[in-house]
Amino acid sequence: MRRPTRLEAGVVTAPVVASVVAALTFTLGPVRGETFRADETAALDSARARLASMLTFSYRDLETDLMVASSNATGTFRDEYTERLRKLATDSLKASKASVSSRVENVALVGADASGVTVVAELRARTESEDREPATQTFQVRARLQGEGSQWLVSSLTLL
Amino acid sequence: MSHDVGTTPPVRRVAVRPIAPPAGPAASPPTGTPTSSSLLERLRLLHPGLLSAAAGVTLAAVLVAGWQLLDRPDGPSPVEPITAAAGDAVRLEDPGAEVVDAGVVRWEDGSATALVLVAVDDARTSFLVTLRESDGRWRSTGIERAR
Repeated sequence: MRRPTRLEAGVVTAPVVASVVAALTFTLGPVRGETFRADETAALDSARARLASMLTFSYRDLETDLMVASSNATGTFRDEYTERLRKLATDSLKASKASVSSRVENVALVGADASGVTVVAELRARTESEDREPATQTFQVRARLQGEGSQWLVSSLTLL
Repeated sequence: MSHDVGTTPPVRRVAVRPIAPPAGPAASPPTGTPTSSSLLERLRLLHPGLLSAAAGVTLAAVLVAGWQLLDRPDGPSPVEPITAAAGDAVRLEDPGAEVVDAGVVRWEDGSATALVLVAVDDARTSFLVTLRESDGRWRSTGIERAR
């Protein structure tokens, strides 16, 4: 019997070799991506922006600040937080003509599951009021964000 | 109505390709390289089961690869081993520090940065720990107190 030419042998072996390489790549390769998933990155970005917005408020335009806080939150926490902020305004913010401006210094992913992601964040807040010198302080929070449509909204916020 | 029968209408000239000679042994490429159809034919003649065996192996490999691709775990990022190693690094740096909470700021290609929130004597502070993965374990490569 005639020996197959190099081309003939290649036609038969090439798909087999390619398939084996593909199978080995999928079997032995990394079982998951080597970076955050896209939804985790989106949640972290969202936490950075939303936490700063929610923790920035002023006696000057409190109704707007309450609306902003409300639009960044979800679930039962939304009403709870808005109510807490309103109480803070009534009790002290208006009397001392105070404003708080917050900025997120660091935000980090603690965990993720089917119902949402948990993050910790470190914020720097500058407080200005009529009766005191401006002051800056750093504080730490743990927050949970829940996916709603294409958005990640804050569903709980705890001061650490 | 009168027709000028003596005038013939102009004829459009159409380029005619020369007719190719009938296919036969003379039509084969001069180098002797078989065409794809003749190659398949010759392979079939050489080994009747060879082509079907190759196709079978290919199909099986593609199915296995596809199944594994679909079945690959896509769980959340491995936060716990990173934060555990970062917490250890902070405790080593400051034995009096109590780790309050920790998370992963960045994770990419075997390196990560963790934020570790700590309490030291009732005061709160934090550390940013950079880590690198080797042999399946995360190890600290640097630690700095966050601003």
